[in-house]
Amino acid sequence: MVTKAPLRRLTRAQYHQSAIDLFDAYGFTDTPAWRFPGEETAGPFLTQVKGGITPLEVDVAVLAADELATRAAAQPEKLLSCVDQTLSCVQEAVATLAARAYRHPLTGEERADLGALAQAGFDGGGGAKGALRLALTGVLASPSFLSLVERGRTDAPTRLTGYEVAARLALLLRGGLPDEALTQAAADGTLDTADGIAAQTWRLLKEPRARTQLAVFHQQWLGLGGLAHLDKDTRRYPWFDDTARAAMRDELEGFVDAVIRRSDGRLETLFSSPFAFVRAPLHKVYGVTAVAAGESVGLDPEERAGLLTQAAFLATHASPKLTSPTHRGLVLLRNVMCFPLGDPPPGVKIDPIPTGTPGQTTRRALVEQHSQNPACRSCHAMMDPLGLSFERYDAAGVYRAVDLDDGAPIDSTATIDLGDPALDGPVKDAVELSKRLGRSENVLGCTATQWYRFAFGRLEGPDDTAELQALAKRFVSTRGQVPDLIVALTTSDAFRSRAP
Amino acid sequence: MNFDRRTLLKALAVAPVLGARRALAGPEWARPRNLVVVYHPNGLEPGWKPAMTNGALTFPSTLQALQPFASRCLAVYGLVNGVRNEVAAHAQGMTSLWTGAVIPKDDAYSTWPSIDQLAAPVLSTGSPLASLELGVQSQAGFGAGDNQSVMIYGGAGKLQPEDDPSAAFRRAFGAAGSDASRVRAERKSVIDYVRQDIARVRSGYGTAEQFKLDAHLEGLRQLEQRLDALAGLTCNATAPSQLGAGALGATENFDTLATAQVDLLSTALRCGLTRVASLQLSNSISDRRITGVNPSLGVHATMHAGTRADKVLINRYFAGVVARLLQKLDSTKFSDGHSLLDETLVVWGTEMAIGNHLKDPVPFIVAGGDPAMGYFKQNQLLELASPSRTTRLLLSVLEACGVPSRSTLGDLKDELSTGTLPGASRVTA
Repeated sequence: MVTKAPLRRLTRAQYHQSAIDLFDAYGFTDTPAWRFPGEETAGPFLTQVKGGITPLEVDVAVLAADELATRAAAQPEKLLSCVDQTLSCVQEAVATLAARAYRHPLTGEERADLGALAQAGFDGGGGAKGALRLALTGVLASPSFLSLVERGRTDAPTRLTGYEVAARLALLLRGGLPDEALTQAAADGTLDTADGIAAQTWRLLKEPRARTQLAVFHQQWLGLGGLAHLDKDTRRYPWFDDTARAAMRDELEGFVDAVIRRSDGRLETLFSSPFAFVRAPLHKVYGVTAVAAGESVGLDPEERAGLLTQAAFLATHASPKLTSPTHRGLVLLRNVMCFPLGDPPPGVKIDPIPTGTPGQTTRRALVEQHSQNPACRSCHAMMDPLGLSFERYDAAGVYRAVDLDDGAPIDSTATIDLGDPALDGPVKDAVELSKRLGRSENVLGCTATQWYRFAFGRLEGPDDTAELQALAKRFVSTRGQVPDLIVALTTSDAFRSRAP
Repeated sequence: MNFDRRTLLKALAVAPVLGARRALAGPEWARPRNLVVVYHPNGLEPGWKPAMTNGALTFPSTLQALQPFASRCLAVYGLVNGVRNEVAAHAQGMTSLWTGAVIPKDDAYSTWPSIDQLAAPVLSTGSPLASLELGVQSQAGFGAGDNQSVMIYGGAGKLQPEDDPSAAFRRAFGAAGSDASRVRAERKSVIDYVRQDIARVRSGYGTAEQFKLDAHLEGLRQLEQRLDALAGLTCNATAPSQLGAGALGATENFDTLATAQVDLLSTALRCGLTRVASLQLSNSISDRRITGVNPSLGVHATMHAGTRADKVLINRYFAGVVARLLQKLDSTKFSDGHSLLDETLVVWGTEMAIGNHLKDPVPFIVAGGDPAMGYFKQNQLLELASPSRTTRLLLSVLEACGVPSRSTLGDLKDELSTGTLPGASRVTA
């Protein structure tokens, strides 16, 4: 089956990593990627497939290319092996680099055009440096670098070439350009077979870069993109600063890595394991002693159960000072259960739900009251109970027995009624709910769909239904084994095909 | 790219176009040469309503910084924004602010152009740059990069402001300077090479994807055109100092960056680099701390749940930045004595009435333009007797700029939204 494959531009993060990969000899750590405007989304994932490049982005692409090329050309010896730095030597080096940037061996025509550009830089008075700078600018400003260009095989245009498969694998699991082993696997035909792709996928999953990509997936999946700028009321949370934000991000990365790459790799484990990477000041969240970066600590299994009960998720989906059961419920419904929710009806007044008053009302009562309106109930009856089960975690994720503002003991019980047999019924708290989520076939299917969107950078269409069903079925049959799902995805027909 | 710290272009005494202000006059009013739209987040409540005192516009303490320019201002009280759903007022407010778009979902962008982009083809004809989008930490904050932080739209997509004054300068003035002709020649050979690459990529794709490659060609065409136009530009412009990524993002540098962007904006107009500019101060869900205001909460959180005093301090700060812009434009004088403010219409607006998402009254202040022959009333409070949408004021701005007349903007086509704003203009009803 052939899946629609639109021309897909690199996201800013992919551009950033690709530039670093391309100039690995230089060890760049910063790139001009962040000058590009923000991306569109496919579900919760950042991507660039719908629109055309805007004039502003063309400008930025040329300026960013010039900036990178200028930095590279300042140290030509890192790219040029020959001592005399002749034009032909530069042309050779640039062709090698362009092949990596374009993710395929250059055609004769590409080589000739690039050679001419290098010559223009050389003749323009810039010598070898000028040639290098101009040619690299051209490479980096080209759609062949800025986009994942897929032409298919000459003998079977709907099948991707090995190089194109390598490029997709690299974007998914390295977030950037193919490494040498992938390029070699493309060259020797390994990536023309499902077995070869599987072997490369397993290899990439073991590389350090996969750790980062798994973190990127989970951050975007759970709506945690704003973590770096998360705002908390520092009167209530004086410890909440950049160190805390960084610790939350690292905690998520460490936990996902520990479960998916170094444990059983299962979704249920991700949503139930009571341990975390608690670096200061996150010990304030968990009420344990902080440990060094990279070390984990066991938590009370009555209090915590995996990713959804850790600081990043809890603090992101809350206000600066108060929890937001609706937001926590919404992200679970939309992102974790793939439940299609509409927008609130027109004319709805937003009044942030205030704190309760000691001895009179509790916040929970106010939250429940707020969704009594018949126009709101249809959605809030689904979102709010999910979120209310998380009420034991305050706006920063700190476990609490009592609401600081209204003084009432926390009630985290809820009744779930979503038509999902694995979820429905009364729940005691988020620990119980989270464990149920990890076992729900609906949640497993949604997770498979989300990986599909992440891998292709687009929403699924009617052509994808069969492939998605097969992936979901397999994911359920392995009881939520994520690495197996990723291999099933990269060896699928969809991953190896493009539009006719 | 290298450029001189001080880019000195070969000076002609005064560019001939600068004296031609009145030649642009329409039948009844002097068209502004330039249009600037300015944004700050989350309204101006509480207590921003100006008054008329002895026939003069008087700003309350929140807007005290604007008082020296009151005689050049029209303050409009009572506008209603076009947000469909107040729950999503941050996202919908930003996309709707200058476009009149009513987006169906929180995560959508406007497909309608903003008024500055509608004015650009009229005002910026012959200028190297159609428009200049500047921001001050506009992409900082929760949700950065999404539609809660973008307000300027071309027909083809969003135009994200440049938050780095130094990079904005390079983009705008880049190919100017002592080695301008070499840089231009190099750029052109890069553009030619990219065109060759586009042609190759094109051959691999069916008709459905061709528009993306056409868009790339169009971007290159505009870039090339600008390189040519820059060759004819003569002006003194000083490059802003370059800051690292950390300094650009640091909330305590907000004010320094605001000053740099105000300077760059006025330089670009003075030099005729462009005729249309926008300045976006932070975004709708800003986590920026304003110096001197409660440091425990950012702007967005304060406007939701902060004290009245803190809200006033934040609004007073943003009014100060707008005043700095007006001051800069007013103090930039041409040889015949008129100021840059005299030929520039500044429209200051925001996406909601107040931080808790209310639709009205959304504050808008129009400043500048020809003091005698301008389109808008000046030294006036316009208090609307019946509700009108913000788009009606924007339609007036377009009319003032000589953009071919239209009765509605974006998706807003109801009675509240139709036609220019009554009472705003000196010359029309």
